[in-house]
Amino acid sequence: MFDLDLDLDLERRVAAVLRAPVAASDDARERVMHRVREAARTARPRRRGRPLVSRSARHSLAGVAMAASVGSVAVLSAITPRPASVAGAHAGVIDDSVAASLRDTLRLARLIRDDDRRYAFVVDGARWAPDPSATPVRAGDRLLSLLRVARDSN
Amino acid sequence: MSDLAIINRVLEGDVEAYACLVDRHYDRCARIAVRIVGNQEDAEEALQDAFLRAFNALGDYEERERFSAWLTRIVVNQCRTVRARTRRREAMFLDVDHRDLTYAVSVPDGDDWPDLERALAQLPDAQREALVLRYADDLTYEEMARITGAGESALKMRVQRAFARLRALLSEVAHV
Repeated sequence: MFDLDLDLDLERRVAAVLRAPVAASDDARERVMHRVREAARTARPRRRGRPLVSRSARHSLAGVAMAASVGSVAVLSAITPRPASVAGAHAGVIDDSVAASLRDTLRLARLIRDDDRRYAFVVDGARWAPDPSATPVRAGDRLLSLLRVARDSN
Repeated sequence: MSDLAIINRVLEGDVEAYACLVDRHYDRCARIAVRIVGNQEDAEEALQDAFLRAFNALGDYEERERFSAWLTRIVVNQCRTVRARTRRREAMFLDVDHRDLTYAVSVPDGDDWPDLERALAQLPDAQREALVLRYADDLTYEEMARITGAGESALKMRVQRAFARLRALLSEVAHV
């Protein structure tokens, strides 16, 4: 058991340290505005017609499912005909594509060329996860998802 | 003028009105960023990118959410990106133990804050991030969950473990 007073004291000290103001460069705000003005020259933010539906705490499986839908777009783009030089290449990572930056979470699709397409997603920028809707295949210590692609007879 | 009124002005084309939002929220976001990434230089990099991203995404802001919480989410994500980049840089200098560098900072006598600062810096990223959001920004666990994407119970556990780790680290210092 820990001493409750000691714990409250530690909590108070932690809060004091974390709430203490931090130093910032004198021109930090101006540099932000400089970049904002530059960005505004090419495109200004506009109110969307209909606000996006707000989201509560994200469930990890829901995150994977969303990533799967985005990733599938990336996979589809990856399986479109490629130059002949890459046909028949050995299995290996060919691309780590940024599939999309969905609001606040960067998700990547790792595409591996082989006879099959194998892929996984980076969920919450922290861990790889297979697509829950695809056949899982093990590659070393990592679980990937398998996508079989019918070859074009032409 | 409320945040919402300023946002509306920006969305109507008054880019300079965004400076009001930057002024209003910079210090709070800086406090969060410095504590998460661990130094002012990286924190400023994260903040520059975060405020620019927020500007570009302003049209997506939903009025039902507090602007400060929406902005914090962007800041936290930029901090994570910067942290990941920093870790890759650190991996290139394996011979340098950055904890030694941290301890090389002189500590004023009788001041226990530097010990606590160092202990905070040694927490795992996820635990430190939870602690920062909870105590530097006074967020509820519900707000923290929306910002981090983690569940409330997981966040409570992170905070609890962070305190346990801090107690252990501080007691190590006390016994040196």
